[in-house]
Amino acid sequence: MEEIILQVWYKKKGIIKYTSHRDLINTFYIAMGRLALPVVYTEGFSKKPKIAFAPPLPLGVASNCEFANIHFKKPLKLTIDEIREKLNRSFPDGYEFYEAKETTGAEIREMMAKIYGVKYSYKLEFETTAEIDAGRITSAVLSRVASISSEKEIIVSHNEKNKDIRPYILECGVSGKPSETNGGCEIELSAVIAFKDMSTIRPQFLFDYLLADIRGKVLFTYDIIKEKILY
Amino acid sequence: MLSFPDTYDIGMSNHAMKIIYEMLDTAPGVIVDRAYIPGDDYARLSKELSCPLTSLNYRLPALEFDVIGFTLEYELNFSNVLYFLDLACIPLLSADRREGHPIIISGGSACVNPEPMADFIDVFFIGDGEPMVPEIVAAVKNSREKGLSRAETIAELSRIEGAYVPAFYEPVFDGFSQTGVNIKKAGAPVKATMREAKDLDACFHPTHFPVPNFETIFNRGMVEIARGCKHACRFCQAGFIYRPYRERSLGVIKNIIREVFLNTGYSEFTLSSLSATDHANLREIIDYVAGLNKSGEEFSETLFSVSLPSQRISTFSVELARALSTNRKSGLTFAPEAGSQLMRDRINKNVTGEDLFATAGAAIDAGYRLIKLYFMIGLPYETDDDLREMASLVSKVMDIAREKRAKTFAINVTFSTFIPKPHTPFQWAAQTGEDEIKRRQSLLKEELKRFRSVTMKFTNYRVSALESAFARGSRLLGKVLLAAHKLGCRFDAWDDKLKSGLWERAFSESGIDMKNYISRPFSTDEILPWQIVDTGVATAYLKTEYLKAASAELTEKCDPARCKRCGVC
Repeated sequence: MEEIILQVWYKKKGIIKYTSHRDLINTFYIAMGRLALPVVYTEGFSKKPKIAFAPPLPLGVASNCEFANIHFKKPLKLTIDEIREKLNRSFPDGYEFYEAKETTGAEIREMMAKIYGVKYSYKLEFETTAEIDAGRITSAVLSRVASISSEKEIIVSHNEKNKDIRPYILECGVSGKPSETNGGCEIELSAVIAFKDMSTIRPQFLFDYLLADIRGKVLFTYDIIKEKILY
Repeated sequence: MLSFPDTYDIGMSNHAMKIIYEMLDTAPGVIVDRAYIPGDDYARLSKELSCPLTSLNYRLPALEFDVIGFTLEYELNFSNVLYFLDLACIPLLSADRREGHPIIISGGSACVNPEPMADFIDVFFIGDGEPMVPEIVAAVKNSREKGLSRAETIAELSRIEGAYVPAFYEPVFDGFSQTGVNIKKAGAPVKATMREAKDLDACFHPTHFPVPNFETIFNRGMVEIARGCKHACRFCQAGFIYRPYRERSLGVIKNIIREVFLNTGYSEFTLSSLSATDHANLREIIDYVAGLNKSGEEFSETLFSVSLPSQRISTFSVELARALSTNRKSGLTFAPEAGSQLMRDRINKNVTGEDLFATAGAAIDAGYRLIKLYFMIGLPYETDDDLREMASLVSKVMDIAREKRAKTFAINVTFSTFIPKPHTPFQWAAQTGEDEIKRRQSLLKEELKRFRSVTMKFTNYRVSALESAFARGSRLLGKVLLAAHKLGCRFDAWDDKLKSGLWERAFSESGIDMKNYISRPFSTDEILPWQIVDTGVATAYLKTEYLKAASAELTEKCDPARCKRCGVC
């Protein structure tokens, strides 16, 4: 059977970011039904549409750069762009398919081998208090950012295990100028986290380190967005 | 607003909610949304921050809806209705609600005995919802247009066939026994008549229902192929309250399946009914689903599969097992219910051990390696010999698997505890006590422990006892529910959340002995709290069936064409 692999790129934003990778996979499987296109099935005991997914996006992290490789049977009755449009109509709010292209197994392997990192942005909004004003918050966060390059190791504790995240932080900096808002302040950071041999760290680990000095002292909201896969 | 009083992942797939939601969603001038019980963390925060419970999609406070409808299908969800109202900042007691408060209505199979929930629900709608929903909408709309008060709107709703307004009735008690009912509202009917949708083909079936974005139970395309059951198993409430047996026709079912697939994307279907294998066209339905991927339509080549909720052993054929196994293999579930032929005759479960062995053999031949069996313990007249025969049935099925060299074959057996349910011939029977049930469970464990590939599951007696108390409870239990809610009882259907100790305290604080509703056989002459509901099945017929259980006499299957025994047809 001749097949065609479509690599689709999509954003996952808004409330849907709180659904897990496993749920995302099921969403794809059910949406494939709504797509009504001849999809290739896996050959297992329980046959599923043949789709290879990008490494899991951590729960609660939004993304502008997710991809999946969907195997369709040839010939396709629709153009690739029409399929992308149909995907947008078939998926729940929060998913946005912005690119689709034909690819091959060799190209996918080459791309996966070249991936070295992922760029994240962190959007933080703090509420200032009488004790902690915007200046203090900003300097606490920025001094942590500045300290990374001189740290030999940064140990974070997760699931009762300690992990050194320093080797994974390729870049970390402030994007633009921290700004003061009515009763608060906003800081936007960006970081490149290494992805090598399928090994990486959750972007939240870095975030925990950056906020260590003020956590528990101020109220804040945050958005972590996966901006770009670097390869 | 529609609510299933449990968490989203449990309530999301409820079929009744899907029917009513879609009917209301397409009704002009109606805004409908769903709401479920949030998790403990969310509930705690919403209390702390004084944020009343909101609906799922529009995030509207529950308080702002004109009507809130609860689906009540299980007695152990009762306490969650109180919890929901509390989180939504709506007075718990119907009597405390004032102008501007939503009208709280309820339907579902647990409402065939509405009395334990009578203090909390303004109007019950008993029976099939499809014919009642448009009438409810019309009554509420008319009331609003005419500027009627809340009480007047409730009175308008009470005129709908199937409605029951508890405030119009006052049960009379002598101690714990109900001795009568005073009708407080002039013109209110003597009994609430259960509403019946006569023609299932003409009934609305949802095809555009929401698909969850995370894992929920029964996350599949549900297609209701029949309602009611031809068989008259004497313990089974659904078999009596959903009479007569009605089938959807093949053409209508095919359209539904196609529409469900195209609109939702589900390619795995559950053919829902109390006894799917009784459907006259089941084979054709399965063939239709299996043939969809060769249909030449644009969605052809999608892999479709069918699962049946529970298969009746006597009518399940080898052919059917094979037809099912051409698609993805879901497990097969059979419910012999009792071990010995005598016991199966007493409960009118018209199957034999031979039927089970032949069916299990066919399933193994068709490649199935897991069978689930359901048994019930504590049935009236049950002896230790009956239990040993249960174990022996399981053992013989294992022997068949061995003969057929099905090495990986396994059986999951669930032993539930018999609960006497209202409107069944066993409604008068006592529930077996805790110590005795535990002894019988141990006996079964001992008998079956030598099989490594037999997994046994027993239902928690405390859960069954509570279910039993509320299934046959009177209006007196309202104060127990209120006390239990204040003590923190909720999610009682969840093994890890049921607080039996608190329930015991709630009963004792209310001065009610739980045993009155559980282990006491009811006299066939006494007034039963649930007799306020007329299901159409004559009490005299239920009594005859109860007597036939004693003499292990079988009753034939329902055949509306020639049988007029029970009074429904």
